[in-house]
Amino acid sequence: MTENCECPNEERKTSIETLSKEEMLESIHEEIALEVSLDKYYLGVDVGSISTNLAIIDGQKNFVESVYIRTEGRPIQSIQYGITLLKEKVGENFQISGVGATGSARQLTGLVVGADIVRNEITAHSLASLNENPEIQTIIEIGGQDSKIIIIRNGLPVDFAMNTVCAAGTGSFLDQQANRLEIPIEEFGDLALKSDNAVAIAGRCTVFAESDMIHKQQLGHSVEDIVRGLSEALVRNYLNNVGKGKEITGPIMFQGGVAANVGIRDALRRSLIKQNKIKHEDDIIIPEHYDVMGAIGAAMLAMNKIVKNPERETKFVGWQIPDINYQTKGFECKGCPNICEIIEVIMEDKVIARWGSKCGKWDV
Amino acid sequence: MESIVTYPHFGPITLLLKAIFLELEVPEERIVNPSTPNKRTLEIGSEHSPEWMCTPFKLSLGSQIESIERGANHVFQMGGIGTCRASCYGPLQRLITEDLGYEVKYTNIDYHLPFEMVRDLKSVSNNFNTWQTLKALRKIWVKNYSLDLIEHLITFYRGVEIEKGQTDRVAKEIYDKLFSTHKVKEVKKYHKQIPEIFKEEVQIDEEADPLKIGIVGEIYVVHEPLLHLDLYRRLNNLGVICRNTVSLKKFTDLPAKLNPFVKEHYKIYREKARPYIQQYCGGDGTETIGVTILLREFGWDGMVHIWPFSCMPELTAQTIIPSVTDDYGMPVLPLIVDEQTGEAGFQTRLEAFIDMLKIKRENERNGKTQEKISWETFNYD
Repeated sequence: MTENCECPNEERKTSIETLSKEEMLESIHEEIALEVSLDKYYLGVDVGSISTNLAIIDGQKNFVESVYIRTEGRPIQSIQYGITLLKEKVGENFQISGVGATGSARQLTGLVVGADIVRNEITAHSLASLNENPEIQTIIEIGGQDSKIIIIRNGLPVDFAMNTVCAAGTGSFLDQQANRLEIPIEEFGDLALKSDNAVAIAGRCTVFAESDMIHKQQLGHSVEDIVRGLSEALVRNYLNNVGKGKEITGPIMFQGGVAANVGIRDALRRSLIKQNKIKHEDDIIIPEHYDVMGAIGAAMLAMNKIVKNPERETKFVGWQIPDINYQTKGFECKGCPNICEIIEVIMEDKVIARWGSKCGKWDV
Repeated sequence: MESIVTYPHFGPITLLLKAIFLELEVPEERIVNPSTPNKRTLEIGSEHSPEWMCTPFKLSLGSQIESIERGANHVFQMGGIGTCRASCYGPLQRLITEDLGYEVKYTNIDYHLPFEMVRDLKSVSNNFNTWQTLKALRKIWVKNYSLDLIEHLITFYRGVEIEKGQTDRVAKEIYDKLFSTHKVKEVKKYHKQIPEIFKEEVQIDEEADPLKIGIVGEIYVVHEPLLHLDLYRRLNNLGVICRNTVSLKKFTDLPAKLNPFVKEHYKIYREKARPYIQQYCGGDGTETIGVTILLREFGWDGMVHIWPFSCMPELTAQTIIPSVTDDYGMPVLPLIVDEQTGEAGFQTRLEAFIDMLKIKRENERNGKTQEKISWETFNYD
């Protein structure tokens, strides 16, 4: 693992020379903090609707190891499985100094792994992307259930938008359609590239899109053309819905599970060039670890927290997480007309948390 | 047949509606107060509503049906002429309940038709004459000022309180006291004391540096906790102070309407919005744009714009808001609510919005420190 920790000291020194005195002091402090944490590793866990990602970074924000698996509606089991896989990769004696949790199941994740920090995925993503490339102006992220756009100016997020009421134009829809056409989702993108004649598909609503697709299919269009049409519809929907009214300029970071799909990448490139938002194809950057960017961001958040409070011990439960028996139980509280749905998290016969109540009566 | 009155649930304003009938001295056995709505209420409402109708309609219908099942036979529904679909709530709901086999009388309360309003309220009162009815109504708009004030105080103090839950406790006492006071003079006297009571009883973290976020949108959603998914509490728990800018005042504030020297708050909002929209676009759409500009001028950090799916006025406002954001640098988070209770996505958006606002504020301030917070610096009225 230590090979990855080579610090780009040369670069650092040259950049410091151009800074003012305060900034120099600050970066020196930063350097010290980094040196102290050289042999420290941080874990980020991102549990989304479709996938569960875990990533380990070292004290210099370098990527060390990651795991990408499917959540399949069972977040606790998928975290346990993810930890098992990660343990196999790095070994049981690997020390973790801090853990961050993110994703739509971040609350639960935070409890199961013992996170030092629990933050939303938008912050985690922008942090990871900015670390990857500080020049970017826009982050486009299409995930399983949600798609988002983050506008970055001068290295700071200034505006963002997320899909509002429905999940049209996100990964789960592609997944579903790939399933229906019996194409493995991994081959979906390549198939789209084989076509040079996209079929027009309604992109506003997945229900409309599906009936459109069936209709075109029955007319005799080839699967390749339909798949390409679908990719274009998805991109169109994204740009007109989530990206509406936002100033999209390059360089753009495209990430999230859907970024794996070469068909979508291609459609996004073409339609942004057509709209004069970007000039070159290279203006869309797909990060190396595009699928685990949320987890990397969470790990970075954990690192910031630990570096800021050096005395703090991590709350990480440990590599034995897969062996612990976690259970969740839901019930309705009938104490008042609110009828809250309470969720109870049980760890080895001990209730560790309850949430969902409005009054706080059930909080542990 | 003796009429047993009811009215739909309307967030904290329910207290006000309840007070109307108490002031009219309707005997208690002839009022059915709506119970706090829950998922079941919404389910009943959507089961009997047209699918395309907005969520407030469904919730208020569900709320009415629940009350009707508990014995009510005379529903007072609020509506107006031509503001938005809200004006057809009453008549539509009457048809629906009729189809369901209930024998229910519907009365629309509409401030555009003051004579009809007074006549209708008089008819259910305890043999009041017109003068007495007007006196009773006066108590209501006086209490509405206090209701707004309490709401603003709660969302301020809860965001910076040291001991969690203290604000809610104080607020409950104040609500009880306010609605058991009947003389206008005493209510007015008490109104002046309310900020002091909060100041004395709630300890705030004076070193806190909370963001200030305004809330705009459709009036029913902005007030009903079931629909806005407890937005205010969520924001307060994230250490933010927020303020609801949509008030019933627009409809009830008769003294301001009669006084030529007072400019009503909604007129100020509309004037602010004029460069962007010249026509009245229904509902509170125009005001939404105006408030966004106004709060920016007061130095607020951001806005949350919330409305029910398919609400036309707010949708109109939403298309204009990006240009307001560009011109004034006021970030606005749009939130659309419907029957779903997917709170995870809701929370994520709020948290991310707040993270972004914090970074933006740091950048704008550039090292300048913030003055100590207090209700006086927060209140702009």
